Amino acid sequence: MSAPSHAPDSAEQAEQTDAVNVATQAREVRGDSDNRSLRQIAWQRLRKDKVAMVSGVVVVLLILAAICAPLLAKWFGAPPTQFHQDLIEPSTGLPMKDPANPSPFDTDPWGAISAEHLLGVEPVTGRDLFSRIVYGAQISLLVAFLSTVLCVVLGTLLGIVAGYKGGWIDTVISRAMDVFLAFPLMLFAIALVGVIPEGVLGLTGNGLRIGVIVFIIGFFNWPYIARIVRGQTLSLREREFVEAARSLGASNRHILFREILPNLVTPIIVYSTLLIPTNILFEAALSFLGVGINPPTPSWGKMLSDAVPLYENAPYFVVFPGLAIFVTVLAFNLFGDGLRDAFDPKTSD
Amino acid sequence: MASTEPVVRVDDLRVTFPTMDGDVHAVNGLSFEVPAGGALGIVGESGSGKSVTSLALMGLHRGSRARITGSIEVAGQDVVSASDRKLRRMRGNDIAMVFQDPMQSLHPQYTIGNQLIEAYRIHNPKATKAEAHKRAVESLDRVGIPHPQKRINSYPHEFSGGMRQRVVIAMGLMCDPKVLLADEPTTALDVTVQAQVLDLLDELRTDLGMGLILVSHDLAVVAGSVDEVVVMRHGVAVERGDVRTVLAEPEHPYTRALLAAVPRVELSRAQRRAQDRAERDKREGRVTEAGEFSAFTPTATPAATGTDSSEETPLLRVEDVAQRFGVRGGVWGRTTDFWAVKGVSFDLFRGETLGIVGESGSGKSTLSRMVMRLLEPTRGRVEFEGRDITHMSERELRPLRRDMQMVFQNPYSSLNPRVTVGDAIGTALRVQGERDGRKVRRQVQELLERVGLEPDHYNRFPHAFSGGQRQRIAIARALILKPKLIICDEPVSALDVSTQDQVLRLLSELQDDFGLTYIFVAHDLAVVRQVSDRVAVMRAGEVVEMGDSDSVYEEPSSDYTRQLLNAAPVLDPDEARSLRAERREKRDKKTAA
Repeated sequence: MSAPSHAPDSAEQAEQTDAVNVATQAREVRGDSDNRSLRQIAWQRLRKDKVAMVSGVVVVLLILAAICAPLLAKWFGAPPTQFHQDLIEPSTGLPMKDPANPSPFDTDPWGAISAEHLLGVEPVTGRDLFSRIVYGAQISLLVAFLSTVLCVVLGTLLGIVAGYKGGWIDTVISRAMDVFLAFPLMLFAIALVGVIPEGVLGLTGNGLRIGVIVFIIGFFNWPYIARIVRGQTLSLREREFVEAARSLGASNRHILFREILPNLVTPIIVYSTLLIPTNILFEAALSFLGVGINPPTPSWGKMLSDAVPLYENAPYFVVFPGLAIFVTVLAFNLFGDGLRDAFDPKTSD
Repeated sequence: MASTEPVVRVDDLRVTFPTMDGDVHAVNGLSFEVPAGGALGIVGESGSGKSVTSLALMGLHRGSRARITGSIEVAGQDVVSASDRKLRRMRGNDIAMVFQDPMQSLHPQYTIGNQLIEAYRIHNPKATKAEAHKRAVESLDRVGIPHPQKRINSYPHEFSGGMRQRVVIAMGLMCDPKVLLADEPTTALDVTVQAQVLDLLDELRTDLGMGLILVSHDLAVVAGSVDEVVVMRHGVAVERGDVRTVLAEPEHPYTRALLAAVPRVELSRAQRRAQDRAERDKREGRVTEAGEFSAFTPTATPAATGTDSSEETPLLRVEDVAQRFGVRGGVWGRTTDFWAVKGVSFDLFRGETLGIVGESGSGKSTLSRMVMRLLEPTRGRVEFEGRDITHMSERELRPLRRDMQMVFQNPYSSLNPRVTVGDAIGTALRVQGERDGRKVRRQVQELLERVGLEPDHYNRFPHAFSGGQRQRIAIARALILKPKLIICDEPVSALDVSTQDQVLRLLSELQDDFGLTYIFVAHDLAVVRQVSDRVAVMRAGEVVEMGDSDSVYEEPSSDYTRQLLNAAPVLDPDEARSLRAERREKRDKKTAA
């Protein structure tokens, strides 16, 4: 604060410092402060949000687990496709409490959990459930990430162009969005998986399946992102900085990608984090219906569909893959919510 | 009047907001009182705590994190300690508030009648609907809404801004409050409408014997309407006293600085320029040497030297330009034509400043965007240095963009929040083909220094700067291409008075140093006079008067200009009152006729 009394000839300087003071104070009242970039502010807010931080840690751990699946399986379990029939009672197909004394009346509803098999073993085959779930995370997250990336790229490009160009281009893209959203996606997926021949684009087996699923999810879900991006672009287009860029002689490409796009990064990141769990569920649903990943590669959805007929005798087989999906989806959702709050200038800290 | 019991008494009021960066003392020991039927003005720049004070008077900080100490008494009721119930009974009944933005303070989904009747029936639950309706009509009639019987069933969007503010005032009057609290009631309005609303408030006060608290950032708005004034700064009243004394013999240096910064409509361009130059010489101890800023000076030296401007080709020639917009709506959703600008012509010579004044909707912004070729004129011709640019494509225009630049109105929206200020300014050079990153950086930093900022502000984002600083950044961005013509579209209307003064000074210095030609668009008559050699007055898409600025201001030839000048707020309380009397007389004559 400048001193309350000063010589009249320094009035201008006083005004200047005063103006700065007033502005600083106004900013202080609003709660944001000087030199931090928006990302730093968001990070500081995020750090204070316990739910977001915990879910963020869970997300990171999940990704790490998926990447290190072979290591985890080696240290804490057995390879995911290795059979352990010695643990299975042959007449019921269920794991036994005491493999040394096989008896159809002594099966374990918790899947023979032991130090070698942290989450027990699968019925019938006796494969290690822990390592199958960890490997399943690979497929789930891979499909979810790839399809989200496809959604985001398609949605951002089409949304930004529709919003900025307007006119008939906007009309065409917007109607296309409506058509894509009206598509019976699940039926289409089932049909497509059935008719696509092996070896298309040089892809076979699971590679092909993953490709098809990613394509279906990405290609039919982009309108959600495109709508958000289009709406934001419509309002950004009217801002004076766009006019300012035009009056400097900037090209449309410059305005779209250097002026408008940076302002869309936040909603895109936030929406992507919320899209990932949806896509995880979609992949699980497809695998559940038998059009996902081919066995014996582990997948959470396939595990669930195998487990459903056995839920009375082997409840653990439903619980663990179900829990994996639940925790993953919840963690991504909560983290996405936290991100949104952290980036939103309107939320108070 | 001073002997009567005061209707509002504030004693040592302190309002503190806890924030992440510690406590902010928005109001820090403020005391004043308003006698029954008296009028008090609270004046201060943004962040001075004046709005926080008015919210505190209404007890509207309840439920927020603000801590309030001290005492506020409204009509004998202590607001700080009153129960919520008592407070609700007080609001609207003893003290009514008129907010800044009439577009937002009325509910868009209810008719104004419903809103007025509701305001009455909350405090008079026994009143019948018919009584309340009658009162609402009376109240609307009181504030000068024509055909109140019919208009009571209209929705807010069917009124203009000024009429809406009248409706808000009518709503305040429903319960005969003892005090009317008006927080920046005219900031969102045009000059002529502002004068009408201020006149109305003054009339109501004298006729109904109601107290008035008028909060504003503009001393001139307050001058003619209040008896006593409080000048606030950083939450403290730096000066308080009779309005005539404070304005004529301000004691506190801040008040003096504030008064000095208020643009005066009676000050001519020549006087202001001479004053600025003298002050600058005194400050810098020397005259700027010619060629000192040659890096930024346009190659063609401007003719500020006094060559006969009628013989050279004008820098810019605008011939009968017009702009049509299609407006959706009407029967069957057909588009109807709306001519925002209908045939404007002028020549602009090098080194000259043309001021364009007009109220909102007069087409002044559309005109400047056509000159900039951000819009393509529907009709007419725009020539820049003898070249017809009316229908040039973006690509053809690109090299010309070097020569004409624009400074936009809102420094908050004209800078991209996700781009550092250095990049924002440097973009212009890159767009124009400069590839050397270091060269760009050096030039940007030089220019940042020239407009009064630090070179190391290069990597900061716009949100770290105040409004005035942002406008300096925007000016730097316009300057970096060494343009010949800069169009300033309301460059200071979003700024505080003192900041506004600094930005005007900067623009004038830059004109001296770089030989710039300006088109200066604004709604503030005083500001336009001080910067313009010639002035064009616009109304509804047409130029009603154009001429050299002193003659337009001193001997206006059109009625509209006279009306505008008559409505402009003046700092002298007595002059303001005599102008008001004049306006009233004119209106009475009109209604009598």
